[in-house]
Amino acid sequence: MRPLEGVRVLALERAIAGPYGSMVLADLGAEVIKVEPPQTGDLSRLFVGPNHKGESFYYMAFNRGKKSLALDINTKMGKELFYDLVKISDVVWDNFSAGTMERIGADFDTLSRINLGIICCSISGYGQTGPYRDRISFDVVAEAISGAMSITGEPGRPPVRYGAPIADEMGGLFGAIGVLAALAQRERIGKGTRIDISLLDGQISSLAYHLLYYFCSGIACGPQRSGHLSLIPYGAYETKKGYLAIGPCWPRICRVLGVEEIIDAPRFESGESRIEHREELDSILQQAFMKEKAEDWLEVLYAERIGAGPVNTLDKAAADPQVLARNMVVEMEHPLGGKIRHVGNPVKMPEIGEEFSPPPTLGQDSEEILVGLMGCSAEKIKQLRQEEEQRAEELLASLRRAQ
Amino acid sequence: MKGPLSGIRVLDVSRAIAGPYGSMILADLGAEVIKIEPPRWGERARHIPGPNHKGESYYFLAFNRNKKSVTLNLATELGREAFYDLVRISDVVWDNFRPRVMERLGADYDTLKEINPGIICCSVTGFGSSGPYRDRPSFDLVAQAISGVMSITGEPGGPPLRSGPPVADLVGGMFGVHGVLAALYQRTFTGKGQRVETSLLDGQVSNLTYQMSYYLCGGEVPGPMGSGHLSLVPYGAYKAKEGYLVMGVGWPRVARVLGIEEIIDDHRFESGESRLEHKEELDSLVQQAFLKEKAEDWLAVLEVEDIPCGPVNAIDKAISDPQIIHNNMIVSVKHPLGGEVRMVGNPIKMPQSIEEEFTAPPTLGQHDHEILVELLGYSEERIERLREEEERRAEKLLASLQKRA
Repeated sequence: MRPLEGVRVLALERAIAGPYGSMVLADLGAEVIKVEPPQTGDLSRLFVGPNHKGESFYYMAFNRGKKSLALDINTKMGKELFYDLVKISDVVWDNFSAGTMERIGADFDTLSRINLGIICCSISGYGQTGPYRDRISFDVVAEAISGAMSITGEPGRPPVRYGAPIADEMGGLFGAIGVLAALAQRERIGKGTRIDISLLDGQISSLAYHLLYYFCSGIACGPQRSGHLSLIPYGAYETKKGYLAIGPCWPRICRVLGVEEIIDAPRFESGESRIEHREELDSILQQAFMKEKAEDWLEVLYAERIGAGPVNTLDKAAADPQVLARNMVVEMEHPLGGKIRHVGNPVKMPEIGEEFSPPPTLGQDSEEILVGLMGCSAEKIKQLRQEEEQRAEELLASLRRAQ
Repeated sequence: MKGPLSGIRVLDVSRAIAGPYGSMILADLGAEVIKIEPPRWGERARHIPGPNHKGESYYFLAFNRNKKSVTLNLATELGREAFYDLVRISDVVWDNFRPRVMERLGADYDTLKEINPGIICCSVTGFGSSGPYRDRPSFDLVAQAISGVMSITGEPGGPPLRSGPPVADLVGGMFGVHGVLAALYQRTFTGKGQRVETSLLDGQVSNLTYQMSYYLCGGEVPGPMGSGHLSLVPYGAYKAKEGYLVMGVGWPRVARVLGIEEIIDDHRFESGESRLEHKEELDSLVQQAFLKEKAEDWLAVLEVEDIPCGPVNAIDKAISDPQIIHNNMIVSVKHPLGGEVRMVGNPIKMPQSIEEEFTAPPTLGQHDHEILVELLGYSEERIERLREEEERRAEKLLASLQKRA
């Protein structure tokens, strides 16, 4: 049995931060019901780019293992049904801008009156309080404001961001941690709690040692290329063919590279002195690495038990034997036909097997939830859909007027 | 310590970043984290060169607040006994050694569950406890490289770059925390602990999410994108007359803000698909327009228009940002060796459950007495024998090292 079996999460989420975090909860066994606007669904369904039978790659990436309920909680009946769901759920999870959940009557104070045990987790750009709370944010903005972007890239070049949407992802991961801690606490005290996560806070947390460097020295470091503030050798080096990455391996690396004469050079003898002569040491190593191909160097580095690896492109990574051995690329049947491949779950609990189900199509589980779980009659569902239809038309009409 | 995990005791034998960052999250949530360090040297992060506070390295300070430090050598008989006594009264054993080190130390799950069936053992490794790379050494950069994340970080044609923050380590620690908390929750129903593991490589592959999905769905391999986005344009960092700013997802409003509204009706830019197709042209028009004013002036207008945006702050700028200060993300604590240390705060805000109180990263063995005498009830005599045994072992090791050298 998976650890969160029996835990029900109502996810009012879109894009990345929310969906990534609730996917972690789903992987751990929670029943995650994605409550989506009936007309469009999660906006990431509409992303341009590759897709599987019309389901966008973007949506697919973050929504495995969930159920989809199409429900407009802004209609009267929709909200009633949502409150009924809250009564039998454990977690309400959102990544709207601050204040939205209050506006739609789905904030912690309202919901805890309906269910004392409910845990509400909100992931926003800046947090529920503070001077920026009403501003719009997303991944790259959090990376920029936090300073994380200022240490990523090359000196003198424009700022770059980390390839993966790390601010969104860490926001989702911290949210999942908060929910898990609140679940553990609820077993003790019987009450739910509110959790307030921001992308900006997560990015500041990720700067832990760079900020301590600054606090202890007054020096704000700049872009780090692929190197390290306090360790050398460390980084990506170019070879005759391809790049490779190595970590702390002094002085063994000199023997591997055939430059052992520099081991006893006084300017390289201690960690401090190597950092002082970083450029010179790096250029000696870089020159030596140019003599052979990356794959040939790596064989020797592995034999020497030096931490190293190729700089893989994504196709290489998806076929890497260790990635496959760890079940980090998984394949599953898709409800619209065919198979999809997906990224696996990094939390391994060997006593428990791994099961994955594909990202749901829009409203795929509406009937199971409305009829099976909530006991709604066919008549009631018809009314609900009519009310949603009306509201959608009213909204459309008012949009047309505004133009 | 208050917080949702109060009453939970974690024995932390981890070092460097991945382990200590994860156990610091547990400590921030109220768990009692006892850091078990080798006598004399302590954890290796204490010895990273660079700035320090009264001799405590910046690297160690960054990942060890809210913990206790006790010195014990698990390779000595009395040290291991003391460790087992601690396991009896603890909930979690947390490590980031390579696979099989914990077995060699007699501290693996199968051994420890005999002592305490409720114990949860979490290992954060480089590659996992199985598979062809299991025994290879790894660390942050190697996981970023092998996973493919480095191949999409940087500028097209430029060298591969890594994320400034040590993301593979951090995310590895976070997934370990997910496993531990899920196992704690499950234990309230089953009464039993379990083994949890995660690896830096697995965490990085997980972070690839949509880029990996782009490849798995379409077969096309994404490359480095600078500060841009696979599916959105305009998006990223743009240079202003003074400074850089980031913005995105504001079409067509941003064209009006920039005074280039004539391009809104240009058929090349009319849909998401067509803008993506003409990314270079659009990006260069937007970039040119941004050069006309300073970053701070643009940001004032973009904010009024509700377009997501921000300055690209250097880290000394970031810490004086009013929102970062408001969120208590920079905290200052008294250090036992004197003075105050500033560090980053806890991003998990639970207003009803967590009072944000922080204690300084401990000095080596700061809590020896509290743990060994007050918690375990050891006599002074027993502790003396323990230290003697450690001393003898250290000398033997030193002698054998000298012989080899």
